[in-house]
Amino acid sequence: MELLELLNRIFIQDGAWLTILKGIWATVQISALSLFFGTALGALVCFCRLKGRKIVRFLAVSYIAILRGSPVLMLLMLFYYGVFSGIDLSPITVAVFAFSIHTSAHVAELLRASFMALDRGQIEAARTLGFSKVQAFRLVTLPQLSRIAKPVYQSTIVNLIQWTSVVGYVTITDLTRVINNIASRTMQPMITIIVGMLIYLSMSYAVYGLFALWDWTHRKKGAGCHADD
Amino acid sequence: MNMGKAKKLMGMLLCCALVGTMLAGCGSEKDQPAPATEKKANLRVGVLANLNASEKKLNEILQKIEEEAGDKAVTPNTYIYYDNLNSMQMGLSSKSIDAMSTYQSVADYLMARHSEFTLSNYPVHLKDAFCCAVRKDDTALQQAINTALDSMKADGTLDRLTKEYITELKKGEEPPKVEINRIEGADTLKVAVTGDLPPIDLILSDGSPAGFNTAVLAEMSKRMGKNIEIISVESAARSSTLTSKRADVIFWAIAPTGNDPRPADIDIPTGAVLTHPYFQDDIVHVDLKK
Repeated sequence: MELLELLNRIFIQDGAWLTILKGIWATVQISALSLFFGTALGALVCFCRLKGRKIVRFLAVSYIAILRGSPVLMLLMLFYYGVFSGIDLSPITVAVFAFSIHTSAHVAELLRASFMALDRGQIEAARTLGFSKVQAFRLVTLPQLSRIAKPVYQSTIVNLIQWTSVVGYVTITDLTRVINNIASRTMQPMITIIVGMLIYLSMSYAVYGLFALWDWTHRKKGAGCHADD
Repeated sequence: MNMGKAKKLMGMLLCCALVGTMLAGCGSEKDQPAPATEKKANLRVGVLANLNASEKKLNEILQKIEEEAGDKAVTPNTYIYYDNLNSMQMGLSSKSIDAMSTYQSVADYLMARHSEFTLSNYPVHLKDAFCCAVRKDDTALQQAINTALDSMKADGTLDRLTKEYITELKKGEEPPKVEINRIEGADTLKVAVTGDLPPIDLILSDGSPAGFNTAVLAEMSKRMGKNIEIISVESAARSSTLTSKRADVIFWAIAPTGNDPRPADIDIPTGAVLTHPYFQDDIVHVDLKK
């Protein structure tokens, strides 16, 4: 009973839950936008890395090496307090930029690894059977690529959500910052951190859940197709 | 039971007995009293990290202060530096430190919420002065803030705010919400707060900044005729926020001038100048009740 009262006082009373929701929204917003732009940019970098001319390949390799080796907090602070300090960009825009390029380096590498794991013979067979390049990519390469890349991509998304916990350094009040503020105000750091961790855990499992749902829908569709046959 | 199983069971029992003996042995050794001739063990004291002074330099200063205080029976303390109050409090609760060094006002706020903490009998050697920091080239702003603070000091406003937000704060209560009224057509000052030093600086449950610093800001806004936009930032990024012009003013604590054993410029952010101090607080040690 005492614990419930304590939880109510820390997380519910005086609109604290609304502040937590706002923090979650900031985290989701930055993560979703960075994932979208990071994936698109990552695919482009991967293409340059695999198919580009020598100089383009070199640039892509350097891009991946620098960004994958840089701590995301350093990148974020470098962009916010250095590179973009003279430009009137909102902290969220700068954060999305920093996380997008960081994620793109990881996505580029995971796509490259997935490409290398593909059976080249199947693509050649498709081309021999008269498939155009686009058709071979869409109907043969892409389904296999997404199946191979999916487990690592899930982890990348979960990592991205966790990386965003440093945005408090660039004046953004995200979930971690809200949790820290609550811990300071109530002087109850342990219980506050545990609840914060559970919220992050729920977000991670929501990602895994979405992928599981995707898999389940596809299996169902596949089974439906076979039944029709 | 066949012979193989019996051997396995015997082996497991022996392993358990061995581990148990080792653990019991460790415990009994630890419980033995220290020899009378040995110096008292030094304390591991948690300290909030200063941003611009190195830990080595701070260790030297703090140990010199202890030596001068004259308790020769105590070996110098070991200082462990923390980024924020939350982690230092958890360090104390988990006994990874023996005491935490913090401000009297913060210690009172903490002890009002946790009966397991108490003030140690460690004598007060130091105090900090609280002031604002502005960019070096922003001398007009520094002057304007100084004028506002001086007038607040002269007419007793600072004392009133200190009472209302710190010394006369009811046990277990949070400082009241602060309203900063908007002045139409006036310039806006961006001020960075951290929210991790209650009751001086905290963020209320609705997400609004509050505490003594915010109350001082509201009064400064009236006297300077400027709007205040408060931005919340991690303590370690305050200096970068100021020098990169993301904020015009930040809050800072310094060694007060006078008899303080620390050099006055020990922790002044590079590229910044400080205003007159508006509050001073003793540095005390908090430890767990025995």
